[in-house]
Amino acid sequence: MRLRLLLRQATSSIGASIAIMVIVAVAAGLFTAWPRLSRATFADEVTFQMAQTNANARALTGTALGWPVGAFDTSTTYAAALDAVEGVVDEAGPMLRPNLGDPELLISVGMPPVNPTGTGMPFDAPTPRPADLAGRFFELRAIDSLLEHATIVAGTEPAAWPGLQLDASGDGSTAPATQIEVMFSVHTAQRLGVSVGDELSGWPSPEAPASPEAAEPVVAVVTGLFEATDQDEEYWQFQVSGLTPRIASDPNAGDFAIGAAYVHPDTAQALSSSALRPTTSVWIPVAVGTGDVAGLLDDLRDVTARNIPLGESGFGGGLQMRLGSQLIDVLDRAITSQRGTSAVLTLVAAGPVGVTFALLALGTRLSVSRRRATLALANARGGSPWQIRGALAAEGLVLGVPAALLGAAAATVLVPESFQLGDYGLPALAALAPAVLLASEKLPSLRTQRADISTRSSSRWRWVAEVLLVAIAGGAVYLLLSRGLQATTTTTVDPLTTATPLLISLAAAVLATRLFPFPMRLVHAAARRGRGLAAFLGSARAIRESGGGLVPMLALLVGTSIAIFSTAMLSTLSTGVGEATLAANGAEMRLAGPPYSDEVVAEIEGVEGVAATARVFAEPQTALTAGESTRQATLYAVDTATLGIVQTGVTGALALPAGMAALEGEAIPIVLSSALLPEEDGLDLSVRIGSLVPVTQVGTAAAAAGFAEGPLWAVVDLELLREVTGQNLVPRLLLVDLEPDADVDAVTTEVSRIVGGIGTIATSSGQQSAFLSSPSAISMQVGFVVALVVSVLQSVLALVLTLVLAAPERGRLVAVLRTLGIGARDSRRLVSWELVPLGIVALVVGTVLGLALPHLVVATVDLSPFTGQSSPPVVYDGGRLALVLAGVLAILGLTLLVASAVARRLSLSVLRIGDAT
Amino acid sequence: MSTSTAQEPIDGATTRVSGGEIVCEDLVRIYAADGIEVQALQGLNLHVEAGDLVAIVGASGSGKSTLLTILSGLDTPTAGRASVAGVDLLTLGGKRRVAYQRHTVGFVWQQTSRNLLPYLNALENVALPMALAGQSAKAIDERADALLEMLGVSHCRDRRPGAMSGGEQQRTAIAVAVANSPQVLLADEPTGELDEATSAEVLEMMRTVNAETGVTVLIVTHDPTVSEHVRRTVQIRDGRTSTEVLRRRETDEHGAELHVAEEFAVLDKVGRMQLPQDFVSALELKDRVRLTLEEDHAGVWRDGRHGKPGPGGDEPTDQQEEER
Repeated sequence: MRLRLLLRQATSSIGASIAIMVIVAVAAGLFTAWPRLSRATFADEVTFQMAQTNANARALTGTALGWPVGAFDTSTTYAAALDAVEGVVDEAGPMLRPNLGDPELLISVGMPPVNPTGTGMPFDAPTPRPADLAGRFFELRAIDSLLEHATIVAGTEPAAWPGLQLDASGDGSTAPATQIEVMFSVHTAQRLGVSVGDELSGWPSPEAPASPEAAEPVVAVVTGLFEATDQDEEYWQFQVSGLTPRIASDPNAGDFAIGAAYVHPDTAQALSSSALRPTTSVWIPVAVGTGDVAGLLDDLRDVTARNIPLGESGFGGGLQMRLGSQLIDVLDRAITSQRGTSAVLTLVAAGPVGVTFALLALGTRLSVSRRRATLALANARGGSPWQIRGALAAEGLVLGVPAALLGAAAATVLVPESFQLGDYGLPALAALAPAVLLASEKLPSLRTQRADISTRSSSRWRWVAEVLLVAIAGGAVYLLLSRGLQATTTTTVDPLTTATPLLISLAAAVLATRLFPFPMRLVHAAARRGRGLAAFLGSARAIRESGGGLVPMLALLVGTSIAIFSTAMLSTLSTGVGEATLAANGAEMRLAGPPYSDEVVAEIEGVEGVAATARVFAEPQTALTAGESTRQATLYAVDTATLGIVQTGVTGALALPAGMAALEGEAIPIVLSSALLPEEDGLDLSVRIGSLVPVTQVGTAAAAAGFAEGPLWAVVDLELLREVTGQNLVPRLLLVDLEPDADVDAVTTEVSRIVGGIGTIATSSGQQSAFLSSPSAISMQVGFVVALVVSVLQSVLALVLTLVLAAPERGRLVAVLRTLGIGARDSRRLVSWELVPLGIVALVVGTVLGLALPHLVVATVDLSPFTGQSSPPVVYDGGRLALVLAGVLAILGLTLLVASAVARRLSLSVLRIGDAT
Repeated sequence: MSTSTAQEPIDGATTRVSGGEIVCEDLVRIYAADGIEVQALQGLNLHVEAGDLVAIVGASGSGKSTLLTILSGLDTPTAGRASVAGVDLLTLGGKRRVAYQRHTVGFVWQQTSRNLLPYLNALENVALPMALAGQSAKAIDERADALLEMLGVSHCRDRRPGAMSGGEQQRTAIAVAVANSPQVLLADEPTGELDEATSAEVLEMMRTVNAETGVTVLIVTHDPTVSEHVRRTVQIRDGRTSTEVLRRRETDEHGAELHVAEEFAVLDKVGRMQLPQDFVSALELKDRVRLTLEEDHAGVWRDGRHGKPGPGGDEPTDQQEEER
């Protein structure tokens, strides 16, 4: 019987119960899905960034000069050195280890580097040198994994060279080996013009001064040729020019080819006593993997912080290898951008999370108020407060827990991610919220209420609470601002950062609710003079019975502010990104690579959509003489007339003084970088471009975005320089300004055709859209949309709940008014009067809040991974904001319509006078 | 609970109770908030014997609802003394209030919606207070059925209030009110929404319950016909009890039964009393009166210096008889 009575009482306000269950289920689902989605997008971002990084940059690599093997200590073999490197893999942290591949150890042996042939050694061979080569070189390489990735196609594999040491017997019966066996790739051999069996001599081969028998010079013998089993393999990215010789060009002499001659790994040990120059490289491939990125990063840092001792440590020999990986920077960037994204999204999500609990409170209040009479009667008939609260709490648990379980389970299944207990904190809170809220609801009493003399202490306490809330919100904002960017540089969730936007929204809602009667008085005064009954009555009710609308006010306000905030944030970010890319690009379009002749430039200027071009000729290491002192600087010769036009709006663009295009006396006007400024004024300046050209300084500049690199540079006019020097200086950089309405893709295609597809064509808009389609930016936009949709739904629910909650009172009012002869239309209008002023106030305050919040984000969240600047200026895109505001207005209007229709339907049931007080 | 409850089954499940004595002395209830004070009860005196059936009548705003709220344990008096069945209502709170509401009083309100829960049928409604009091399911079912039987509404057992007539609803409400065998039954306008015949029926039912269970019944009403069904009618004016009507049956020498009603003014411990309004207006009494003490009664005289000079005749105001 008791259970039946409980059940009957619980099901007597089924509508409110369903509302509570739906809120809890949806909230638990979203609360569960959010962190999982966040992790999933982070994993996507990391995978994306890792995959974008090529294998060579991703790998742990290290290069050092020195022998990892020792000729005097027989235990320091190649195999031992490789074992030492493998030890690194074995000792790597648990996050990194599974991603590590087999380590490779490469010993390159050559001469001290000489430009342009590097460490290559020139050699003579019986076969003639190909005619198109100015010289042929080789370097010796030892790596034991070669034949796992290549196959011998001719000859045999090189054998180990024992070295020039005397025979162990000491009787000289065995002549020292004077042949070092090597092999080339088929393509290298072909290019170098050598074939199997050739003896390569004339290179600085190892000598044994102590051995008179070694009169014969040591030569390299080509014993075999190999071909890569798969030349696209990552392995060959590590072994640069292992398959094809490196070609170095000298404008005076011609091309040199430097080929890799592979020896047996053990040969390296014998070679280590020679005077040749060894370079040791270690390569440990790192696979693209997800998982604990922070852990991976820690493990990487751990590995890169350690020295790997290789070779013999005695005699000051051996070497200390330090590994490095660009993956660290990539992961760091990914983490920073993820942190920025999640910080911005947390700011956005805090509002709806708060509104969720406010809605639950509203739902439980509805549930209790619908059963006012019942509960009051149960109380009067001897139900103790604990009994009744207990029953309500049990009901709350029955409603909340299964609904939350359902929502959380659905989210867990739909968003596959690793299970983390922390994800279920908020859902658990949502599950328990109905029980707690129902049990703590004020219990109705049968005691007759006398409204005229009821105590007003509760409203007094409300004042105190509200003032406290506003003060706390102000304090939180102050704290957040004074702490600055630190707020998001820690890895843990910062409660202050999370709570502040919610606090601000709450404070704004409270203030709006309090200030709302003041403008309404004006409306009321106007309505009093007017003839409409609904307007008069509606405004009077809005003024005198306001205060119940805090939750819908909050919901509407949060929804509006999210919409405005998202728009402003996106325009801020994309403008910041645009500016950053534009500054890096130098202009809207940047052509670099091949020489751009005047004809090509003229043709490009003729392309539809191109507004102007500016050519940039660069001459590095130009001697700039001031008086007696000479400094090396990069001289840039540009189109001074058009550069300013082309770089309009580019941050850090070079502002040139007028008159750069004409000679000042004998001298060419020149702008110097601030670092290049001569110490004294009035010195004669000149630059050497073939001949000595007198220049005169007309200005200084700190930066020249888009072309000037390094601190030391100078800028002159291109045409003037050509005229004075008489040289045809052909620029290799072209900055292009596009018409505002130009079709960027079409222009790019056309320009690419003109330059014959050579060189790079970069457009700032292309880079900008590339940013906006990166996982971080996409997840931010998706997060905005989700938060917006959720908050719109919450607004509808908040309005419906409030209207339903006020239904009995409105029902009595309408019933009285009906008897006085009010029309159905006017009574419908009364409902609108409950909502429209509220909506307008929420819209205004929400817009202001939405416009202000980006400033808080910019001041407290490090946005440098997106925009290059940690605090980019907030940008409001007026047109887009207006569009969004119109959208919000439309949604709000629709929401009001739906809510009032629902409420009207629900309030029909209480149109009887005298029923329930 | 200091009172003893004698329980002897009557008609299967109804129980006989005793000790339901109501005592109110100089009861004051002041509603105060923000500088405004409203004195709803201004020193009310009332004494109801255990097992009595008393009606309290009074105009709207006279304080009768306040009195009932206090007696039902929903409100606490500001000053004075009030006890029901030995329970002091001034110090009532917490667990004792719950126990008081469960076992000492039961009540019937005017509006059905305040008596019966619309989504429970008659049986469940009767069962609710017993369930709240923590009785066993078997006892609840048996007693609920017996109570419905006693009040003549067993046919409504499985109906919800919406499907019952007004009379049936109020009878069920009485069954609910006495479910936990209270010593006192309070009724606030129990016939307010009923027609005359049904009213009489419901009042008879209350009399039956009073007679069969010995519960003290206090009915608050402004319906004058109610007083015909009760032995004693107390009138409240301006927060005080003013007059009382006692009703008794007399059999004259011819064997005819007469209903005799005598009206009294209520005199408190310090000797204050209210003159009925019609006396005051008929004699144009104003500001002050002259009192004379006679051998067996007291006389009230108009102040001679005021108004028209009186004929000097003394008017007996301390006693009045009315016959119906």
